[in-house]
Parts: sequence; structure tokens; C-alpha cells
Amino acid sequence: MADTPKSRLETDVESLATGNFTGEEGGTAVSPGKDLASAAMVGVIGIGAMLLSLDLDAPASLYTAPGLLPFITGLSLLIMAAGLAAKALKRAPLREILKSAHDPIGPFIADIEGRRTLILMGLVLAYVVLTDLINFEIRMPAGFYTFRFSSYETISIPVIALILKLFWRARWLACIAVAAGMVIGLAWIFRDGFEILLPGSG
Amino acid sequence: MDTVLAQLTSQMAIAFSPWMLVVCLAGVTLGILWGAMPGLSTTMAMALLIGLSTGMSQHVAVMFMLGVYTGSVFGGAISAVLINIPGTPDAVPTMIEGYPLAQRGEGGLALGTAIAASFLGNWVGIVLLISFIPAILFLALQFRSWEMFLLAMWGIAICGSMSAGDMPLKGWISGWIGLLISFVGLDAIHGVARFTFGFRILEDHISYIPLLIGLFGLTEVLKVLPQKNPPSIPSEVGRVIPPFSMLWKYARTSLRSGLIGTIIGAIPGAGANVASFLSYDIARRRASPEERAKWGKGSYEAIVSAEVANNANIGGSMLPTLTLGIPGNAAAAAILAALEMKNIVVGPTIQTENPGIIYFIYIGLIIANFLMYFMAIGLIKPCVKLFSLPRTLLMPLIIPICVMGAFAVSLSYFDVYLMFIAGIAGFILHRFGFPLAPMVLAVILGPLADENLRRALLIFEDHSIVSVLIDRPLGTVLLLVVIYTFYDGIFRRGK
Repeated sequence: MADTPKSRLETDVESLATGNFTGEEGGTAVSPGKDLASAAMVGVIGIGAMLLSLDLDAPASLYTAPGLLPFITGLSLLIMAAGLAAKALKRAPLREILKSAHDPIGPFIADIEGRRTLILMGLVLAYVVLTDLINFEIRMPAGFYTFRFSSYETISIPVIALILKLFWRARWLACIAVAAGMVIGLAWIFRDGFEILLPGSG
Repeated sequence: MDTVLAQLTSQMAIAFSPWMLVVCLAGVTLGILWGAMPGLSTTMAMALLIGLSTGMSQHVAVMFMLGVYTGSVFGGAISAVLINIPGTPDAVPTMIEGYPLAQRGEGGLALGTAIAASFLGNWVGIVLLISFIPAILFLALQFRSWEMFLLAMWGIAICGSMSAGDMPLKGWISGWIGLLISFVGLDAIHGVARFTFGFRILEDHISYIPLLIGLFGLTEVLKVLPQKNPPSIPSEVGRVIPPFSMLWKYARTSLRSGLIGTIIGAIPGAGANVASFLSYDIARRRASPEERAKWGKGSYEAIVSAEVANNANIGGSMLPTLTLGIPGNAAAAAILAALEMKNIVVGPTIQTENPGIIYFIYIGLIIANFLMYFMAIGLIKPCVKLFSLPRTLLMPLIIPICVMGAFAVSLSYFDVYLMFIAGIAGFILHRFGFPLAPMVLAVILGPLADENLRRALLIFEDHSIVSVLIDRPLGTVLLLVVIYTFYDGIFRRGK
């Protein structure tokens, strides 16, 4: 009972050998525990959608009620959640699933890839928040061209350099040089090449 | 007839202008290089480049996106053959067959075959697209609210089935959650705020473009970057252009694969991956015993079958996108987004509301195909150099593009946060085995389904179910198709 899905490549090669197609986005086989947890979450979403839909005003007839399709969608999600739970329980009994599900987050954090993913998520979140909070732009006219340097570049270069340092593991100087070259190049393409405004600047 | 000729001539004049050719060349080149890089998929390229297309004029944006689409679908074959890692998932069959050939010193010929097959596949897709658009447009014009609702629901249901393979239920759940997301905002008929929780910013609906960028851009970075880097060993390529006699030998396979690729492309949710896998499987069953013995050990016919199909898929995916406003796959959803951002209304009225744009798209696809052929040959050697770059160097650079792209759509920071949330949600959904394409498709089609269902029910208020089924045969057929899609998913594939 594998807890993480097989790699996309492994599933695809297997599916080609057997002629069983795993679909456009690859294999979806995960542990019954994960499927049961998904079913519970989907069920909650379905019930939530149904309750919120019932709470909506219906200015005219029931047929044009704004909550009509959302209610049907919520109800169908609830039925699908039941189906997913039934499939999970068919693969493994509830007792066995509960035994292995006492710590759903632990194995992910214990895994080095899981920890790296969490760090990456944190860094991306910090990057997004910082580019929202800090806003400035420096303009330096130099004859026919005005050099512009904004908060976007100021925040992007160190954050991307840090991500490169953590994952690429090259020297700091190389990480900063690559990050600076890439960010300034991209900013130039977006701002000067296509006249698209960048976050936090103009 | 005169109008058609006039439109065709004027669109040809635009498409063949030097600037347009340069734009298309840039798109094709970027697409090939992007597709060739393991981990960077066609959909990711398309999703990220929507942001860049906001700064382009209507025709330039369309030409650029078509170039990227055409180039990136082929690009996956280069790394598949040379380093045994498919650049895009649809290149897996090409990898299985091409890498053994490369190890025998026939990598160049394998790639040349893939290039020629891709060129041919694009042609089949384009010819079928041009042939079927008038008929589909005529049919689409007969659709009323009831039929449009059923069509939208079928699109989401079949996308769920096709994306999730042996677990269609998960594809449908992903689609149905997308439907709920699409309902956020003021409803189109009464203006009642739905699922906004008092936040005014949500009243304006959730744009699917930041979702697309988050789900197919940031999610991929989160999936790929923390993984240990696979070894990449660039190799010498040798002769590239295959002899004509060899291609002629596989003409039948090419035609069959082209048809499979186009038909699969026209089905929402089934993209280049399903097309190349299915075509590869059918070609294996139909191959001569002598050829079948080579299957898996380096068969040129197998490469032709996969590459023709995944490229023919491009033309096929444009068919429902342009005529019904239902994207054939996630990459086509990005094309749809780019078209909508340039105020091009896709769907049954595309010809009347945007005269000539369809011809421009045909010509754009043809130009992109020719450029793809020549650029693919020219870019093989630079690609070998590119493979020596680690993914850990390239993937972090996607992050600022995601932020810039999401912000560029409507210059709103809300969209950037939305992109981030979508990226995290996409990663979690992937870990739990849920496909992402149905969700995006449902966010696109949700408003269409909602509005049309309520209109249809209002019209049918005084009718009995039987009279609706008899009076609306097209709707009845669609209803049966929807029921069959669920039946097939639950009782056959979902067993």
C-alpha cells in the first residue's frame, strides 16, 4: 500500500505496457486512507455548498433560483464523496485505515522531499506577500531611455537567489547572478517589451 | 463567397507580414525549448505565457500562443529520444522507442522521424479542423439553453473521465469543485451574491486565468523542484532527416494516428497524452509481426504513431474551443483565455462577432507548423546543451513568471494570491490523486451551465418531461450522452 503516488513516468510506462490508460494527467492510485480522507473533505464541501445554497435569496421562481445549480452540485459532491469512501473501504477495512492514519502529516514532514516542499511553499508565500506590501519605483532617465528599478526586482532577486541556493546548491554569487539576470531580463521583457505593469511598480 | 475570400485575403496579409512571422518564430522556438526541458509541460508554457500575451495586440497574441502550442507539443520528443526523459508526458511512447535507437547511434534519425511525423500530424489536424468547423458551427447554432447546459455538463464530465483514467470519480469531483468555484460572485440573472462571504472583491467572480497559472505553473514547481535531480547525459545525435521512402512506408499509420489524434483532441479533457498513448497502442496491435517485434526496442513506426497523434491533437483541440467555447484540453483553455482577453468571443457566433479570426487561426497553425519543422531540426543540438542545465536551476525562475503573469491579467494583487492558493491546492490535489484539468474546465464552463439551466427550466416550466424529450431531440441525444459518460465511468472504467 504505497502512500505516495508512483511517479508519472513509471505509471505511464506501465500503462503503455498493459494498454490500460491512466488518463490525461497520469495515474491516480493513492492509499485507501488518503481516499477516505479526501471523501470526508469532499463530503464537508458538498454539505457546505448545499447549506449556503439554501441560504441564498430566490427573487423569482424556484427555476431561476441562484442557489439551484450550486445545491445540485453540492448534493452530487456528497454522493461522489460517498462513492469514493465506499471504494476506499472496499480496498481496505476501516480499522486498518484508521490504524495507519493516526499521523497524516508526520510521514510527509519526515520525508526530505516533503520538508523541501514545505520550505518552498513558505518562501513563495513570503515572496507573494512581500511584493504586495512593498511598493516603490526608481526612475533614472539616461538620454533616450529611462532605467526603471522597482520593488518587484528588489524583492524578487534575493528571494529567487535564496530558492536557488537551497535547491540548486551553487555558490551564493552564482545564485545571485542568475536570479538578478533572470529577474531583470523578465522585468524588461514584460515592462519595456510588452508594456505590461509589474506588481508593486509601474 | 466574396466575403470569405476577402476575409481570407486580409487575414493572410496580416499573418504573412514579417512581424507576424517573427512572432510566430519566437513562439515556436520558445515552445520547442520549453517542451524539450523535462518537467516543463505544454500546458505550463501556455498558462504562463497568457500573462505575456496581455501586452500584445489581438493578432500578435493569437499567433504567439499558436506558435508556442505547436512548438511545445513537439519539443517533448527531443529529450525523450536523447536523454530518456520525456519533456512532456505525451512523449513517453517516443521515449520508449526513441531512446533505444539513440543508444544504437540512430538518435538523429529517430528525432528526424519524430519531426516529420509531428509535421504530418499537424497537417492532419489542421485539415480536419478546417473541414469540420462549418458543420460544427452549424450544429452549434441550433443549440438553445437546454442543449448548452447539457453540453457544458458533458464537457466537465468527459474531462473528468479522460483526465483521471481508472478513477473517473476523482476527475468528476475535481470538476464539481471547479463548478462551485465558478459560482462565486454575483449571479448573472438576479445579481444575488453567491459564496462571497461578504467580500466585495469576490462579487466580480473568480477569474480562471490565475487558477490556470497556479494549477499548471506553481503546482508543477512545487512538484518537481524538491525532487532529487535525475541524471542527464547529452549524447551525439548523428543524421537527422529521414529518407522519404521510410516515411512513405508508414503513411497508413500516419493517417490513422492523425485521425485518432484529432478526434481525441476534440473531446474535452483528452489531450495529447491520451492521443499519443491510444495511437501507440492501436498501432502496436495493427503492426506487422516483423515490426511488432521491434516495439519497445526502438520502432520507427511506433514513433510515427505517437508523434502524429499528439500533434494532430492540436487541430482537434481547437475544434470545440472555437465553435463551442469548450476547450479541448488544458492547453486549449489557455488559448481560450488569450482569445477572451483580446475580446474574441468564441462559440457558435465566432464568425459573425469576429469576422476572419478563424481564417487567421488556420493560417497561424499552418505557418507555425512549417516553422516548427525547420526550427526543430535547427534546435536539436542547442537542446542537447540545454539538457545539461539542472532543473533546480530552471524551476525557481518559473516563480516570478507565475507572479507577473497572474498580476498582468487584471493588474490586481488578488489574482496573485489566488494563483498562490491555486498552486498549493493543486499540489495537495495531486498528492491525493485528483486531476487538475477538470477543475479549470468547470470554472470556465460553470457560468454557462448555470445561466442556461435556469433559462431552460423557465422555458420548460409548463412542459412535461416527455414533451421536452420529444420536442428537443438534440437535447435528448446530449442527455443520453451525459448519462452514458457517467455509466461508462462508474460501471466500466471505474470498476
